[in-house]
Amino acid sequence: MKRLTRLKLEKGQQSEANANSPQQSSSKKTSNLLIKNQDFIENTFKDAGDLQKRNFKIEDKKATLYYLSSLTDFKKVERMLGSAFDSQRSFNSMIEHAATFVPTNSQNKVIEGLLEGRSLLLIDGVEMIYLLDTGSIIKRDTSEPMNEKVVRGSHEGFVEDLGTNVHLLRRRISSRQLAIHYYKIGTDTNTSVCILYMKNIANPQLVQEITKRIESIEMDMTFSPGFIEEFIEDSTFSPFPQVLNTERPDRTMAAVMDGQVAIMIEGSPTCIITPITFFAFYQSPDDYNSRFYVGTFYRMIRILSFLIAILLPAIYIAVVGFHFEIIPNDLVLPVKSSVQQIPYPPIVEAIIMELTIELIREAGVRLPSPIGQTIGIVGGLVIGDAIVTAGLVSNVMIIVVALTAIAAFVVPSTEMNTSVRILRFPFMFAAATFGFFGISFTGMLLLIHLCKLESFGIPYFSPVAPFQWKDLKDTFLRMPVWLMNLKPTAYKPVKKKQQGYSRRWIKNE
Amino acid sequence: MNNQNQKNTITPSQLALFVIQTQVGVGVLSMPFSVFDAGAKTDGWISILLAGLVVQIIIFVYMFISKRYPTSNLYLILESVFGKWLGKFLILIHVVYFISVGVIILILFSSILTVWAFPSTPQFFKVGIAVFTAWYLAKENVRVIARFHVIVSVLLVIVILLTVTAFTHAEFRYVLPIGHTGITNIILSAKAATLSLLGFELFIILFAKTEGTLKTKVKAATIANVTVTLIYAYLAFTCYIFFSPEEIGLVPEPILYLIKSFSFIVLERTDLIFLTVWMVSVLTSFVGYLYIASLGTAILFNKTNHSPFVWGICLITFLFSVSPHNVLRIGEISELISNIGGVFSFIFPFVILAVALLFKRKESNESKTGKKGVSST
Repeated sequence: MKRLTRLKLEKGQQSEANANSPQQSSSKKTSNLLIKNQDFIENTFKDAGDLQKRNFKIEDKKATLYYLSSLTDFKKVERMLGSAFDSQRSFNSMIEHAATFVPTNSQNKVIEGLLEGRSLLLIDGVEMIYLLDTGSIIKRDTSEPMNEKVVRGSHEGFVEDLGTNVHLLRRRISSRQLAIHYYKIGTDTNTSVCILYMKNIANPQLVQEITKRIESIEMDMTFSPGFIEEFIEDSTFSPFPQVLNTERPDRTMAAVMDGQVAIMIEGSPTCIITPITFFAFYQSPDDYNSRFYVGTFYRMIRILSFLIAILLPAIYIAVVGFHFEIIPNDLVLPVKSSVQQIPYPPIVEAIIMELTIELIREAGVRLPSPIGQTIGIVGGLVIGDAIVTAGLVSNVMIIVVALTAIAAFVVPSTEMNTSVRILRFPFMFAAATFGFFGISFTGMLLLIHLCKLESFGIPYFSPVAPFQWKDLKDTFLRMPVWLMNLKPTAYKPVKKKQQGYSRRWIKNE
Repeated sequence: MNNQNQKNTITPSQLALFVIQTQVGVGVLSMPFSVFDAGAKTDGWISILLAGLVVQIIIFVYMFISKRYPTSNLYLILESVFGKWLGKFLILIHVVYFISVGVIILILFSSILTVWAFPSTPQFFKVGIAVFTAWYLAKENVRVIARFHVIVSVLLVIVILLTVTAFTHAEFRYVLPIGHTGITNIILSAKAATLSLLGFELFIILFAKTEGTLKTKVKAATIANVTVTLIYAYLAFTCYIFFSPEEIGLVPEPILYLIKSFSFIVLERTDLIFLTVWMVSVLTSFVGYLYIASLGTAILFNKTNHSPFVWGICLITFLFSVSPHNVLRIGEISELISNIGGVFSFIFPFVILAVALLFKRKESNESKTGKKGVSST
């Protein structure tokens, strides 16, 4: 909030051309003269065409109401004023009883309030200016996010309104320990940003670090969570996303209860969860709604998909280009006959096909769904079939590329999905130049990078590096919930215990 | 400051795997052959066990040294025991030795790759890529290196699983009667075996950076030593029961030949897969030496951070290993360096301990403690 006042004051200085030192003008107070206050507001909003002004009298005192018509719900204004001044009470008691009137004498708060859609009630002879909460909100349903669907479980999703999002989370965590802090980011847009965490679970050092980084953001606007993400993350040049973006309240709740910190931004349904580990991207809320064998199996499949997505084309290229002898005798003929007619090395084939797939995806992703499907069919089926018949790309390569594409889309998170798709290219080039040797060393570089990477001081590749045997229960596997008594240690939670023994009844029988 | 200290420490299990990964490296392919060749014949696996015993004694010597210098690594101990100038000189010798081990690792690595899989890839690239990758890891703090070494330890299990298939064609009569070559031969071969176990010098360097009491550190070191000794003995034993005694004298890399002879339904040349896995082992041992060499250089220049020196050492090792050389000379040089390594690793600890005991040298409280690591209590 300190930053906020500083920003405000720069603006104040501009409008009033005041030569005061910052400290003095930051505590600028309203006057008890109506005229002065009116001047102040009208000067500040000289160019705001939607500023509306109504003059009236309350018990012979002149009063003025200001509001921005674009942000204000007129019905609310009417109802509030009506209920407050309708009665026979004296002026002072009326003001006292109107609980929704927030008095302030700070010029900064007045401007801020007006910009948030509040109405200002100015009364002659009273220093305080009353803020009426009359903001109009246009919001959509809290419907399930398109990109994070689950088969079972909650179908609620965050919306663009910060208040609603915090409400969704508050309702899920009815705890006095839930801390919610608001910040303003963007010197001009004044976007509300809010961080949430559990006071008794989240590591205080972690919270402090995140707060510090959020407070140091200095920009005139906050366009999307991606901005915040790049401002606060540790290594921007890493291919891996270091915060988890989610639109699901239940996922956010689970993360907050694990000791992570959620960051929400006004105007975006995406909630940023940080710090995060690599394996969290391979988990889906669905895992916990199915039998634990099923959950475990699909987790394994997802981890396998990561390996397939980055390694399969590279291995194929290396085998065809360098190590043909690794293919067993019976397989040599089919592979050889398929590759033989191709006029160029496997890396060229692979690049052609991988780029085609990326083109189809990029073309189809933002089109309306009927056209998107057509693109998919034309691109995938027609090109895929024709390119083999034409002898430009081998059959086996089509299989490899298609498998890779499918494997890349298995990841439940979009950010990780794109990272994985990019990562396979270095592997392909290394395989084409150095065969298995290249794959081995590119793999090591990737692994070293993952070992190095830390998100807010939390090792990114935990629980594999550093190795945490206990945390594997909820990483590669999904053990029955009653076996997971301790919270994951990766986020260094203050409170370690998650549950007691919840199946005590077994002993009684 | 507290945070910085935390980042510079590793857990005892990380210590164990760090050292295992440094010990198992380029030599593992030829180890059964070199032990066989040194005279023990098919009793080589007993020599390896004996060598493990010797290493264990050295670990206990380290324990006594470390008791006197709980928060200093080898270099600081050298400085403290032998005085500033002699100490610096000994550090320099150590660093030069570690660098030359690194060079030998790279040369053997690229020559095995040339022979087995990549005959036409220029050595320049093979060594260059390995050095670059090692640089990328070695410049990090010890904790990150340890994390990496822990993950890739999974690959050791793969190595063992790959060799298990040999038991389907085993001929146990090759190694019988046990001990037929005689005690002298076995003990003489133990010398060759200890050379393949080199790399345990890391214990005395990393003890200061390990969390926990001295007892847990020594326990971790013992576990590491037992593991490596058993893995080596197992690999040697497997080779000796798979190849006949006449055959094994002809195959300089018996483990590769052994694995090559098996094929699976989807995989014809298993040795290529093994070679891919083995590259990781080579890299980890190279990184281990790179790390301790750069640490020594840093202390030589009175710095605490080793990272700036990794670059220079990488360049030196790279230039030396790509410089034109004679294959036979390499054999000689590598043997010479192994022998020097024997002196460094087996005799030096006793000398340090003796001097420290004789002159009653102990860690001075004010100077070194702030610089390195964490206290042992």
